[in-house]
Amino acid sequence: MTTLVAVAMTLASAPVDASSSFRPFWQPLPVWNYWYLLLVPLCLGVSIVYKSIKCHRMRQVPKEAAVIFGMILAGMTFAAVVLLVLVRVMEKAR
Amino acid sequence: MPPPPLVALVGWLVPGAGYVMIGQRARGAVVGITILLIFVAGLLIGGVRVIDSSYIESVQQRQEREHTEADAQRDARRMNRAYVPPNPIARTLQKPWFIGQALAGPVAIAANVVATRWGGENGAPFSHARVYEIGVLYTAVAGMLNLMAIIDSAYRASNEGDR
Repeated sequence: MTTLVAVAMTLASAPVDASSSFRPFWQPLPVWNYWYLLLVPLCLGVSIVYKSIKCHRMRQVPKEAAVIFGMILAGMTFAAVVLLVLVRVMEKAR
Repeated sequence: MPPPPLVALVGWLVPGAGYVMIGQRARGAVVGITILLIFVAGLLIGGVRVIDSSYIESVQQRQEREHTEADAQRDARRMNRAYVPPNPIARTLQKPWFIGQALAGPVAIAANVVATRWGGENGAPFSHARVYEIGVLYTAVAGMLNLMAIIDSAYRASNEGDR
């Protein structure tokens, strides 16, 4: 929940080009510098649908979806950190 | 229990409706609403033009394609070879993301029609870079999730609502 609030606040504070008013669905969302945060709601949606299909009873879905959502986020963060370290090491080696 | 092919068809027409047909309303509502929210979020993030197929074209796209085909015909005639029109499968695979997007149901086809008609001959403008990619990703993932839901609801229909 805290993550979602953080994402919403970041998106709300994203810079908007004042010269042209944003037209939803016509123009892309002006979040050029925060695109990676858009993966978070997608992961949440995937977790909910996946667990709704997988779970025997719908009562289990919120807890199971929250667990898998956390696991996906943790996995993606871990992969990002590993790749960042790898890039830094390769930059130093050159 | 309705026949599985009918459940699959209804599940494609309206995401989650396959589950409703077999009596699992809560599952159908959660799956359907979430898939549609992901799809609409994709359109909002990248603009409606993230839905782009080889078969639903704006006037400008059709003119460009006809021009390219006319060039290919002229070249074939000059080299005394038979002109082979583009293979439908190859043409579909030119824009493979639409296969995933179309699995979200007629809403994807409707969005593509709107994208090509909205705003005149060129249709709605294309977005670029990461925002476009994320928009395409959202809409295609929504379609792939709906495919999972279609298969599962049809399987449950064949097993009296159980897995």
